[in-house]
Amino acid sequence: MPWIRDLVLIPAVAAALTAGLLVVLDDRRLTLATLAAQYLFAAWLAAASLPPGVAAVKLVSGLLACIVLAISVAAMGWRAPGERAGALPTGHAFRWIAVFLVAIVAFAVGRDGWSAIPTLEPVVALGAMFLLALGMLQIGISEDTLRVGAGILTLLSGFEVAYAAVEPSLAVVALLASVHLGVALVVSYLLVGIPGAAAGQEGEG
Amino acid sequence: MSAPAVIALGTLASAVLAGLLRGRLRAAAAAAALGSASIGVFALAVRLEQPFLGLGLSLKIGSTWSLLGRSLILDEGNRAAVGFLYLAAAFLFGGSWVARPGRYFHLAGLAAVGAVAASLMVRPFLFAAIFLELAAMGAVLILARPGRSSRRGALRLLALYTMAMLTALLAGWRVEILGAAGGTVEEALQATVLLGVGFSILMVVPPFHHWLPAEADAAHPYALAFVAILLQSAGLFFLLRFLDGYQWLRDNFALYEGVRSIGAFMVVAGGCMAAAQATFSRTVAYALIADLGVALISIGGRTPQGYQLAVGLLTAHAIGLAVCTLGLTVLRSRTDGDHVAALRGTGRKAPLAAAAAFAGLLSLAGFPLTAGFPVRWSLLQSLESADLTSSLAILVGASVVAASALRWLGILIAEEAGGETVQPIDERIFLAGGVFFCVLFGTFPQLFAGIFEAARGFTNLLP
Repeated sequence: MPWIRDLVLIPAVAAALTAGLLVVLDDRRLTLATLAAQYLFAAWLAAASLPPGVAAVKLVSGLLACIVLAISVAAMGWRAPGERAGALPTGHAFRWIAVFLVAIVAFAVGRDGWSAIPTLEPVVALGAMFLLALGMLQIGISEDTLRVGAGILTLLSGFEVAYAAVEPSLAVVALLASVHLGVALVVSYLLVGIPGAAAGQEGEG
Repeated sequence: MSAPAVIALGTLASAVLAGLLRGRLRAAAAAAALGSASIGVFALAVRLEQPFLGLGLSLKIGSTWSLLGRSLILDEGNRAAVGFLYLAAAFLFGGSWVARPGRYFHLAGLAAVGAVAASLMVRPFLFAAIFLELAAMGAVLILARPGRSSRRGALRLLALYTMAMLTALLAGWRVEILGAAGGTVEEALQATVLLGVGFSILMVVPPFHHWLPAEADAAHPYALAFVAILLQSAGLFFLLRFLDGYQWLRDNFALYEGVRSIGAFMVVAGGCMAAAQATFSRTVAYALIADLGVALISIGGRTPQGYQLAVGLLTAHAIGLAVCTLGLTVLRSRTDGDHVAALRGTGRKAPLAAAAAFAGLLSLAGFPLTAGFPVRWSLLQSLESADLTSSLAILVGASVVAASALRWLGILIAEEAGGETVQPIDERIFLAGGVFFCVLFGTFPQLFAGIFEAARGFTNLLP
């Protein structure tokens, strides 16, 4: 489908917007909806290097990861916990400025494509760079479990977009899809935990 | 049937059994330890690609298991490492009989061990990075304790290992393109930098060490010891595989010099940080970083003996850390923490636990007559005057950590009200056994000879 490649600027810009929004949003419902949208755009970007059917695997695994997270957050309540006192500044102004600065750096680094991966189209490389940079920012400035988890998944998505041009094999796509699901499950476990799993709650004497 | 499939099925069966027995921790510990030991023995002893008689039938175990176009291969190159991994895990699962790190420790632990074993067997081996990420996920499940508000350490571990996977995949791709020749200087430099970042994360090189002290505060000490041993073993074998696979990497003297310098820094900085901590578990965490620095110095020596000593250090490290955290777990069960005030005098109530914690920490320091000493001594002899800085770093690091161990001993045996409490017999057996192991490996260094074989598979490193 040639239009996927022709319109690849749309997902590149949209991926940057969603990744930036993930850093600044506090509402957990909006966070998960934005993450799901980001998976759509990341899959679109990956489709520039992969057959659409294979790229769709990334979308499906990503949406499954979002569902796993949504179930856990719903179980815990949608209200986001406050960031730990004494940690990094977490105000909206700080996050907006950080997103702006990091996005500029990502644009500067990624606008001409990656010379190391000549098969990667410049616009796709730009989208991947936005996801990588903003994902790292999210991991770096957040302490809330869901936000860090979203940051890790954003980082992974950015990497996959670039790596798809290097290694388009089905085995890699499948393994990386399992990593997305695994990260979502682990983050869910950290959010919810398993009742009675602590050592102090053993039934055995 | 292929050997990797048998290992995978054995791991799965043991994990399921341990999961089913999660309500009976001792049974789960026994199932995990026996299952893991059996798989380890199988990996070491199985006759690959040779027919043999079993149950009256002619059987042949293949070495290759193909999945989705990729292969898991058990061969002479990696069977010792896989066997070592499962036997070390069996040792640690055995100790969980007393330590009781949690209901899902054995299930998640076996899954993580299986992922690390797959990382050793997978071809092309750059896919190992993905299995290491899966192992890190298992590690997070082991470390996270319900009821604890702090998830910082576990989240950092997950984030760092994800980054390590990404850099290792990219580095692996670059290295594959460069091939044996190494390409241009710039290309080789790009690949080396990527590899350096990935391995720095895997080997807990500062500043990628933050998850370890954070988890020392939050996680069960024995669970943290298991995770540290497992992940660092995986990282070390991954590094050795890369070095073994590419001549141009082995010929990069600057890389080896850098590894030695980083190792020396870790030994001194880790030792000094260990001495400055107010909690026992944090002291152990920094002593562990110092210990890993010694392994890096050993690899940085760029000698066959150095590679073998690095694997030997892993074993000493596993024994010391397991015994130390086993003792600490028992001590913590009698107090409300492991800071100085809480542990003061607890050694008088539980002398064997205090002895185990002390002996384990001394072993991590590399004190004479403990498991950590013979390998360090061999390393110092091999370095001789060729690398005075590294030798001095090892001596300084060992002295500072040993002094820190003595400080903690003083706290543990300080005069306090209350006499010795009764320790269950199984607890006493395990603690005494742990101390015995520490001293046994320190007194009879020849026991390490068999362990050095785990490095034999790296035929280019050990011609």
